[in-house]
Amino acid sequence: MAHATVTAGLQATGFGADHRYEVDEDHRHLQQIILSSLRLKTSQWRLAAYSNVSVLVSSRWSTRAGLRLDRFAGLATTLAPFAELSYSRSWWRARVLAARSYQALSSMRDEETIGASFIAYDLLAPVVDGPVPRNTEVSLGWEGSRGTLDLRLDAYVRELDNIRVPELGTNPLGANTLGDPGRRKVARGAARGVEASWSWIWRGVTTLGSYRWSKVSRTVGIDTFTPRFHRDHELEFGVALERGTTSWSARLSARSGQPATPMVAVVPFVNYSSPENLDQSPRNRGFVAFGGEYNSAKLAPYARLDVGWRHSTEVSWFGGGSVTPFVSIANLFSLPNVVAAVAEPNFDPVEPSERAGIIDQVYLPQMPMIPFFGVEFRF
Amino acid sequence: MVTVLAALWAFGCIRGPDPLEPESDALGIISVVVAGRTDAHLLASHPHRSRSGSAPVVDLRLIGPDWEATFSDEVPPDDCGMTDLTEWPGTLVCLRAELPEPIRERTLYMLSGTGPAGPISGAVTVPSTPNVLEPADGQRLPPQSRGDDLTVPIRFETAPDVALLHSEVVDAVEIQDDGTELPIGPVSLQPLVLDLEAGTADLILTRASPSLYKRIYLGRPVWLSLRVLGLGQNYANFIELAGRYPVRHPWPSFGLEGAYGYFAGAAPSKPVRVLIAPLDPSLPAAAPGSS
Repeated sequence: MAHATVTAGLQATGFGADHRYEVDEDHRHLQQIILSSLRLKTSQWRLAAYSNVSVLVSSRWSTRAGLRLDRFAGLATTLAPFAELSYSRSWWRARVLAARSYQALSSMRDEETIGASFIAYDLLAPVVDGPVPRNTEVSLGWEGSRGTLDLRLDAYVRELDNIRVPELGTNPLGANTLGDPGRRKVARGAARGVEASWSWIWRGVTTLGSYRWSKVSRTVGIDTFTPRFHRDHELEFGVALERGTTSWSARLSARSGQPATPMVAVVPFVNYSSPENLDQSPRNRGFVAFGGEYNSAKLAPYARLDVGWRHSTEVSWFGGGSVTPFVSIANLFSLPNVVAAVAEPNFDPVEPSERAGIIDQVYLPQMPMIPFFGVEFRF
Repeated sequence: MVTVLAALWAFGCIRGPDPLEPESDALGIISVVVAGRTDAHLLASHPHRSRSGSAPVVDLRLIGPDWEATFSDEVPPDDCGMTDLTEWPGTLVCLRAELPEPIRERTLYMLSGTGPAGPISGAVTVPSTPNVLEPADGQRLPPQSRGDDLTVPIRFETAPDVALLHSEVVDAVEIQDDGTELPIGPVSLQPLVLDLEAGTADLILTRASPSLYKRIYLGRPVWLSLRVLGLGQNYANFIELAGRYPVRHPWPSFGLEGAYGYFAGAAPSKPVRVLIAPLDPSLPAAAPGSS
């Protein structure tokens, strides 16, 4: 006999953002890569009523469905349904899910900038104008567990509507990473992909791994492109070994290259001046770098190996505790993982090379090898 | 996992990085046809080649109303504005075409021919001649200064087909005590580019023009012939993109197909002669155009 559980609730959420940045002359250079002077003070109230029902149809089949009514103050009232169907056997379970959700928050990060590759934090601000961002997705999942092996597979298709994306055409090298999302364009997004993850434990050895393949796009106006943060393939593999109070760990990350706008030609110029002009002051020189389709090229792939070691010793200090010295190294082989390609002229008069006079395109690397070490004391 | 990756590779799901090496045959073309001139210059370059590489070989002709002229004369790079090549990439050649008649304003000119990679074509309509409204021709101005600079306020008007203005001094002479004129020589002028919408600008003659500045400091009257040069949209589109990296496709029109660069038109205003001298009537001054 079917067994049903019904849940219902009311929710009120207030979200405020109050950001004020003043970039003074001493930090003007930061304006190029992080932010410019900005004043942003917005708030948003979200009132919601929701209900969902879980039905255990049989010992193997179960289903969940729900509906959420949101009132985004000053914006819109939205209805977001979801439904899930599951099938379970003794050691595995499969499910299919369809869901729609709304969120009136937008990131202040511009993921198309180079600066986004170097700063880790995110800031959110309420969406106070225009349509509410919407996510619609369908996913299929399978997960199983045999002994100490756990395995999970997922496939999904996702549509994003009314998201806020910076207008194309800005220079990713010089554009601000953080800015007011209210100034961005209403855009669409899409993603589809498969993900696999697993873990296995055997005699003190733990391995964890995941692989993801996906295709992602953003559409701003008539432009559809792959966002700069996206990598088609991502593989993570970690192993940890524990022997008594000592542990070793290693983690390998391998990812396909990020998209970038290809450079097809760099054309130098000077400002035009008539032969009759008596002005002999140096004329402005510059380069125009002709690029291809936005983010249509692929940068070099990413690979990184991190290793670590820890050893704990019981001590009697301060009434007893443990001391754990640790060492870890990020990017052990200092692999030059790249985030962009930039033009580099070869005009060095002191060390002329075979490429003298050529404007090369070179990779802009990310993080080199970084060691960490320290001691933990627990009591 | 290896099998999965091999399968992905086989089905083309894994794509290697694109090459960074620039295309060495990329051809740059820069040419401005100027109203009133009976010749035209064209700078062709291979900006991605080493300086020891070969210069571009192009066969191009300028097509005007009922005539054609070939860019057949190789002339020094100076004639194409290349006065300092120490930080100029690649190889280049400056070509000149002698024209059967002066370039006309508001007239269509075309570029046609071939380069190393195939056909090259271009089209530009030379913009209308701008006018300098103030100062009036022959006007006397005091040697007013802003800081260390001499400022000459001007007012101008342009037709909508002018996208950018450059200011130019085309003649500068000192009036000597006996009334004769002595050429001053090179001057330094700012700004190169004026704000079109404002309709006014301050031409700033800087201290970097020592010969001019010394004369003005000493109270010597100086005649300056000033003009503005109107440039069309093809040139403005190109200049506006300087420093952006890289400019994504589709690019705005630069008036050129088959090569990277621009094919632009320009038209200079009629020069306005102004006298820079203290407002002391006892000082000598010559009439405009006298020499």
